Amino acid sequence: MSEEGRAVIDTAARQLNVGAALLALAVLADSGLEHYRGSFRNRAMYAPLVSAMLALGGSVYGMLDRRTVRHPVRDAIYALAAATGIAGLGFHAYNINKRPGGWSWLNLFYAAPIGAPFALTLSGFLGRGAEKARTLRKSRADMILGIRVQRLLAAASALGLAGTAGEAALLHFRGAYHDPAMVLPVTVPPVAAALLGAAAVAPNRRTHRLARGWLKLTALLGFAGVGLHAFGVARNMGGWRNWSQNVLNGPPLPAPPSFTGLALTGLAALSLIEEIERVG
Amino acid sequence: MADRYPGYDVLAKRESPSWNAQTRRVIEERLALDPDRHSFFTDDEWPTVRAVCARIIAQEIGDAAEVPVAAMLDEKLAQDARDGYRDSRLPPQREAWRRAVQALDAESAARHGFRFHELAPSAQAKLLELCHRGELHDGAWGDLSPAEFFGKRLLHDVVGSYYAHPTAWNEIGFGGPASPRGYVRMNYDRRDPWEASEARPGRENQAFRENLRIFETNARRLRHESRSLGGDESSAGAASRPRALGGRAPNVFRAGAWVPMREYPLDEPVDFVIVGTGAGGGTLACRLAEHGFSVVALDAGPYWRPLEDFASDEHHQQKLYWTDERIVDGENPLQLGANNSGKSVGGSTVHFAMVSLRFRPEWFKSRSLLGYGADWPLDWREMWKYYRQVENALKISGPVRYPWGPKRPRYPYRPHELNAPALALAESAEALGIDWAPTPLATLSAPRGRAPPCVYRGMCVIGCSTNAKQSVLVTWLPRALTAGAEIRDLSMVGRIEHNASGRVTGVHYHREGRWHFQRARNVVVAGYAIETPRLLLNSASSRYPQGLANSSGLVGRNLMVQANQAVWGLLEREVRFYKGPPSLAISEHWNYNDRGKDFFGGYAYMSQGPLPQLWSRVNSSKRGFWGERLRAQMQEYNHQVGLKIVGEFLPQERNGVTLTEERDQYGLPVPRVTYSWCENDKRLIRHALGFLRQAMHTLDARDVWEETDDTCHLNGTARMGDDPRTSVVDADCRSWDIPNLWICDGSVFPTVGGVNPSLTIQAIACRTADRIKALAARGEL
Repeated sequence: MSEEGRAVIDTAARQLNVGAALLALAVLADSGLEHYRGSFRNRAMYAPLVSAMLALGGSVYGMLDRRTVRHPVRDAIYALAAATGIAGLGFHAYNINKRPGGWSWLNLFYAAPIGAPFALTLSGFLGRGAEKARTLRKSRADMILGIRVQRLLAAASALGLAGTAGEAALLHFRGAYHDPAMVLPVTVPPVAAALLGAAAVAPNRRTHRLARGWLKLTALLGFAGVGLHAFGVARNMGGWRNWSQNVLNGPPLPAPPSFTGLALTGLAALSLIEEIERVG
Repeated sequence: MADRYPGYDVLAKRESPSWNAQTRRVIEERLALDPDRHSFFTDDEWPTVRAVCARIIAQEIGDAAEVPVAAMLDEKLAQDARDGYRDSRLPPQREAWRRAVQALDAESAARHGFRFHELAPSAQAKLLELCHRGELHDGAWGDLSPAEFFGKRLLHDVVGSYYAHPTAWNEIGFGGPASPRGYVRMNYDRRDPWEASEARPGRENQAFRENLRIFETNARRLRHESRSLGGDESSAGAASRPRALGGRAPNVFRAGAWVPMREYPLDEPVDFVIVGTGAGGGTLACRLAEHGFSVVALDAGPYWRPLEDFASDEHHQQKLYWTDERIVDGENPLQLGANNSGKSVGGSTVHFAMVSLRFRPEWFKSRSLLGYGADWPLDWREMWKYYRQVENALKISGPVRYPWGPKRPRYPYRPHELNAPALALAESAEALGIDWAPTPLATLSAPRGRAPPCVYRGMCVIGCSTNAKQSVLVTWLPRALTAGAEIRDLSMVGRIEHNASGRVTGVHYHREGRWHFQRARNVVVAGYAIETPRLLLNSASSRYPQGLANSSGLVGRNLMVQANQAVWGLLEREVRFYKGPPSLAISEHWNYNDRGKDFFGGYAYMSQGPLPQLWSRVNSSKRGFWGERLRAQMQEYNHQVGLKIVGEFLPQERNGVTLTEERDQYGLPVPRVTYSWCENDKRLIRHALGFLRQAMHTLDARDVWEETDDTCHLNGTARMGDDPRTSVVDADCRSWDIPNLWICDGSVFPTVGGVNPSLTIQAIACRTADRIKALAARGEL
């Protein structure tokens, strides 16, 4: 295997760590804020903070680690993150279900957000992917569950983007799409997700080029979203001077970077597919 | 008395975002009040007044923490600030107080040989107890009934003053002022870091530490933020000097700012002069101006800028209510003022509870379809279209799917999060197996233009200081100004003029100390169900001796309020019903379900959140609590929960508005409002109270009691119909008698239904504007 090819795979692997780090950061900040808002009524509400902090640390370590072997501690941390996310889904579903109205629009809007913990699972899964990617070799078919690893990572990123767009759609519907910019996260990422999904199923140069473009746009949108949400906080009564209320009741600042994280893992997965499967 | 909220002090938040400049001004004045200051009562009367107040509140005179209740009472009487109604059995408040103070002293002298204030506290309390029960008979009372005075005058004035004071707020753990910052955590047993922590048994120290933290957080703020009162200092003057003058009107979205306003001369007739700018008049002014008519809209109240004029304070915000005196009588005399009348540009929508409901379709034909009341000359499908128009204009926040009635389009904005009292309603409804829903409310759940979303400060019915509330003041009226309408604030219309041919020619109105006459081709009366008939009756002439538009004799008759009974109880959990809009959850089950009813009509019921002053008055006037008992009951404030109905009362010709010989500050006759419930009304109340008691039972509430006699809203008194003999106006709100005289407000309702009327009033106004446009196009105006 050429030095160049090895470098591409290593870079992609570390880029997966970056994506996982961004997701973990978003979860850390978001669950920190939201669970503070929920007064940490249940001790389990600390779990995602601990798990996301570990995932963040592990990912940063991974970003800096140039060795081409899996790291057992990082592997364990990512597994914990994925598991915490799954458990979180259960807790959130329970919270929705026990409220008057059950699975109603009202509770989907205001009870524990049903999709949010999944971001932690994604961070864990894609982080594990980063570890696995370090061991990938060109022209070798490494499989998980009978699916080629790089394609599985692309599919997972696509699914994550679609899910995150779904959550944005729900919460922006709650905000009645009062600002035209609120349409962006429910249009751009789904296109990127569809193209990425297509690339995972049947890689070809044209799909890849398109997918890369839309993924980059999505990554940018994740950054811009923080700015738009900061503007949204300012539009609430008292603006930033009333931060102790508006940061909690206004649009969530840490939510949009999830898009950036998933776009980065998607781009990394595309690189892996291209390099390993010689697309193009 | 146990310190339930140790270390808590609302004043610690004075420099925090919980207080705006106007609130700081208002509360500072109250704190500066000398407990011994008096200008209405004489030095001779004063010790008695202070002693009476001390007993009613159970506080010691001269105590460092004494709340200046007597001084606040004196201030009210010195200004002669009224409540908006007076029981016909009572003299005006000044006279009542004077006579009662003298009578109490006389009673005391006769029984004990001392003046009242010289008695031991226990003897004073005993004497007041007798007064409460009506068992005092000294000649000094004259025709003043001691029990009536005690229940309707003394408790109302004294108790309300105490609970308007920060000391009382600390005692009951009330959040206090809340603007611009409101609240975030609204579920049971949740509190924001800036709310009082309750010392439940075993956690007294923790509560103390948490309450101290509020103090410490804000001490840091004091060092970091320089203090500025800011705002428009002249806002205090808004109540006395007109603002909409000189080609400009207040910009309601920015402190101190203005918007251009077109002005019309007095002597050239405008197309429409509209009397009143509330749900009827304000909406109509907007739509007529947008249809291209020249419009001048007059309102007796001031033109507020909510952001700078509104304090987070019940006592101060009484400035929004119609508190001019009205005499009330009948078997069930009404309480007027706060709950049902507004005197502001924007009318009572400036302080309404924002509940925006559609009528049940059958109610428009209740006589033909349901067998009671009277039919409306309107078709529900057409009204459905106008409801939609209004819901869009106000960006109503409502449920995605509404459980009752025919399919309706989705509300423009999503529902609000529920607070604890709303969750209680939802839980109990589910336990009883009936539907409930988040209430469709005219307050924003997302930003709109310059208006921010609701901050859940819970002070909706004393005026929204953030503009999240979609009142007429911040929705229709800015549009009206843009479309070229002129709005004249502080303009009280006293009389409508007509010419020899019987057509009306304009209105006489009082502004800046003088009477003016505005000429107009059409006059629209939109003063709500008391002022509208009052103006029509007061405009009587030799040609129309019964008053204008009154050939049917029905002007002023068929007044309909709505049943507003409640069941209250205490929960183990913390509820803190001061947070969030008061009625976040609703059930219209008994509006749409007629099975098992022994009465005509229906009722909706909603969750509740009265603020401390109102709540203390409910406890004193409805339960007869005062002294230690009231203070102890009020300490349960944060555990209180309640369900309240809006129920349909039937139209009766005996209920209504007439004129008395008494004159008000404009020299106009004071209206008399007569009300008695009919058998059907009483059956509806019985049914509702029984049902709500069941609902309260499912919540395991304790100390459950029924508030049996409250009412809300005013409708009827100029009903619309198909027949000039049995109605005052036609379906277009045009009077049968005078073709260029229109009535457009809640007065035109033939029946009231079991929902809050504001959405229907606005829908009718929108329809009327469209009809006028159509009639004008055909040359039929």
